[in-house]
Amino acid sequence: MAKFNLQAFLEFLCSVFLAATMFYLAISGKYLLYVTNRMFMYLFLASAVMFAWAISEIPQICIQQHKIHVMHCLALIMPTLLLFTPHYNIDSTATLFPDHTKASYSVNGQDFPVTADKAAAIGKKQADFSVNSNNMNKISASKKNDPNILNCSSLGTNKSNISKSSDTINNNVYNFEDNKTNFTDKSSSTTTTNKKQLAIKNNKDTKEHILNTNNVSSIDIKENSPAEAKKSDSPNDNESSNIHYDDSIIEQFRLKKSKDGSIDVTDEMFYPWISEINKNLKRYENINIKIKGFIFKDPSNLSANEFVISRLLMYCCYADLTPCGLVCEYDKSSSLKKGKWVTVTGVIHIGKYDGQDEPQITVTDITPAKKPKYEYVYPYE
Amino acid sequence: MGSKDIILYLPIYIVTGFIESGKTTFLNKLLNDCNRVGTASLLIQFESGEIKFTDKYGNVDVMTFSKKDVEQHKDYIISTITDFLNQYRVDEIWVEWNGMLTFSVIKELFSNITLSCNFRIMKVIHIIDAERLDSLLGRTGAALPEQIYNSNIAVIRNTTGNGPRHVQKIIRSMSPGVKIYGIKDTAKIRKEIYSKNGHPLFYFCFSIVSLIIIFWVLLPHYFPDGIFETKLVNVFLGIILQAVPFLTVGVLISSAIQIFIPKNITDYKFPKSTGAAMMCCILSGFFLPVCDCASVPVFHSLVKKGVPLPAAIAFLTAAPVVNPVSIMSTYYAFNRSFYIAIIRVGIGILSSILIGIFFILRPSGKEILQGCSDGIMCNCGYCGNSLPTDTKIKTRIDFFLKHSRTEFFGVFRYLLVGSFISALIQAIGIKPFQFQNGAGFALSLFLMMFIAFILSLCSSSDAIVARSLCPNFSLGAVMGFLVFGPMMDIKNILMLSSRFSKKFVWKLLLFTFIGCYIVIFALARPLLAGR
Repeated sequence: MAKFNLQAFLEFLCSVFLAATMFYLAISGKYLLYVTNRMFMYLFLASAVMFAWAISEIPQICIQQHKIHVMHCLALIMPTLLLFTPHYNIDSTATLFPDHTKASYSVNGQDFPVTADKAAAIGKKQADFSVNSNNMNKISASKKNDPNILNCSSLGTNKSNISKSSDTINNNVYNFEDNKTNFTDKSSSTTTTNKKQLAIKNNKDTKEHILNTNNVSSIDIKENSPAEAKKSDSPNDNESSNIHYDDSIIEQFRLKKSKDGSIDVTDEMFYPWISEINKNLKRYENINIKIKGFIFKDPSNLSANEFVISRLLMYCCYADLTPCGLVCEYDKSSSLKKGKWVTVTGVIHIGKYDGQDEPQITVTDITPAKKPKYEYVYPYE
Repeated sequence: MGSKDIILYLPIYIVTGFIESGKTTFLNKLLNDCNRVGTASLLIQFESGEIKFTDKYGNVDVMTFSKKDVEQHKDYIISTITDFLNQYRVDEIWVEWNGMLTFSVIKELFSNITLSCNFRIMKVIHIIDAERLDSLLGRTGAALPEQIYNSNIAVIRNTTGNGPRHVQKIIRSMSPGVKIYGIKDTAKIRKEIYSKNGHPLFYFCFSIVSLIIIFWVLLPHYFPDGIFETKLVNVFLGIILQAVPFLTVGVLISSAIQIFIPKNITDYKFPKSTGAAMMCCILSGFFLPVCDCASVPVFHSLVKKGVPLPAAIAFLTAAPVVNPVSIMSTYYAFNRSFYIAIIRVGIGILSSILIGIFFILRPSGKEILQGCSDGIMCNCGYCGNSLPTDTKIKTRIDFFLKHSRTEFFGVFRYLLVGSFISALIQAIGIKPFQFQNGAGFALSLFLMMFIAFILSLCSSSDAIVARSLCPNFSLGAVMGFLVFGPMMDIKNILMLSSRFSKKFVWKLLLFTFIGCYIVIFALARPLLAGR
């Protein structure tokens, strides 16, 4: 008898390929481009089982089989083949979401999905946005009122003298079209920007004091901030004294502010920070933030001077990638090219989105940045 | 004729079939052909029936062994055949195999014969008596299904044309890729026996090459910006990588049940009253991690054991939705949402109760069953039929691996096609399905149920595909996909129709569809409002 079983051999070969592919993806971290980080163990498991199947096939290879089916092996080898197709184009990821994409680009006051129900709530929200066009119109209508609301609040809290920091505002404009940096000293910025900036300064000093006395521990902010705030006579701080903050995200991810009280969002902590800022919005009002992401523009929901500093959030797999980030106010938004990776420095203020309070950034500085190693963010630890 | 070619191996043709199925009659007709005079043949009979083989042209030598010889004197058979082949020129070996012996025995026999040239089993022909197939399959044990599974050509006797459609269906379901002929088509059968099929490896390589051409040449040419291809491949790989681990888990669990747990455990625990049996059936779904493919065999055995039909149907429809594996995958696919998982389970249970009630109101008679054996439930060729009763743990593990592997290979194809269609829909970006108002919802729900039916995804991983469809469909409509998909799809219909009458299968499909549609249409939107 001819002692070779083609079907068994091909099954063996293709199983090994599939097992190796999954193993490689898991080990190299490339699986993160397709599925979320919680699939890591599952991929290992599946790869191990697949390998066991391949091993169990070996004795069969030497047993003749007159009836041979091989087309199912084609299915097994498909994922491996497709992995080598020229499908991952580095810079086109952001452009996959064209301007008319109706997506929520903010977690919008929702809690960080530590618990199942909350995660579902966010997931649902996202799904709803994509189907409900009436809702979107309302959002864009409410967006237009935003600047007024913002101006009122920032003017009310601003009590410092203007001369103190009139020359500190440097708006670095990056010219994306020509692909070269072009720094412009913007001393003649609008008064609203000035005032906001000052309000931040004022508030930042107080916070800084608190932080210094409490050993720069973010958890300590929760315990002592209201008490400290009562001592200070800033009306801004008095407002926040009654608010109870939920620190679950801070504790879970050990989020820490910088020594000067500002927030420097690292690549890994993008989503935790966004969630935390959305959750405890009042705590972060007028705090400086430095955040990296790509520029996402959505003309149907954002006005001309706005863009979203965003990253793509993966709930389940590549199929459900959604932009997620913070709305930025920036006068020269129109000169920014969508999809470019930038580091935005700015100040958090409370804006409105769909009638709800939402953190937004008043941009003070934009510099080009390199895409992070892991491009997407995942709502799981 | 094959014998005219330069022979590097000795071709073996095997005729199988149950006792009195007409094997010898068939061979008399086939081998006593004037065109075959020059072909020296050796006919080895492992059965001596009433009709004897008569050699008309003197070119066929006959050797006869009894079933007892095969079981007790293998060495004698082997040496006799070897001696004969060493002494005489033989161009073809024909084997008339005993209907009570499994096919693997003959493979073993020939693998022990050593000669200067190799053997090769060319074609296996199975003779079937159309009138008796139904009754035979129910009670002849493992040999018959295994013989059918291993056959390349099925010849149907005692009927006109190619035989009744349900017989053809049973054969096809048991032996994928088999060619079916009526006994009278001798010319066609002869042609088929000597036809050389294209080498399977050729098709395999051809597919790979065409895939490479499509993805490396055609797609970049027609979509030079690469966005379509990027999205297609990424979404596809995303769904696959997500689904493969879940499918693996599902297959492992369902195989473990089939191999390690005795079959009748599920059979005698059900109470006889319809209502209680129905609840019992649905509840058992929670503890039986079987996906839709596995629930069909269980359903069949329930019906055969006399469990009230509405209750058995409640099991068939509820088990794939409420089983632990699909609950788990729903929970993960929808961002660890217990709510969605519970809604899915709740709607699934309500639908299956409603479907059960439909069958109480419009009962189906006894004629729904088409006699079949339990052994052919799984067409993997391993499980049921050939699992020995005195199994040691090592054999069981070996069977477990084989069975799960075969099941995975079988289902993975459907999964791949389903994922690809899903990825294609998303890459093209079909948006017209986005309805939220009443009429739109009715239509999009229908569409989702239709898509679920077409895609035939395994219930252990369909939640992930459903989740990926979410941007294009409302969640209420996706619920139709999640609930109806596991209950009924092309795969299940094919499996069901091999065991049940066509009328019953259509009725079941219709009732299942109506039941799911009513429950989802009434409940999904209020329950999922604002989500």
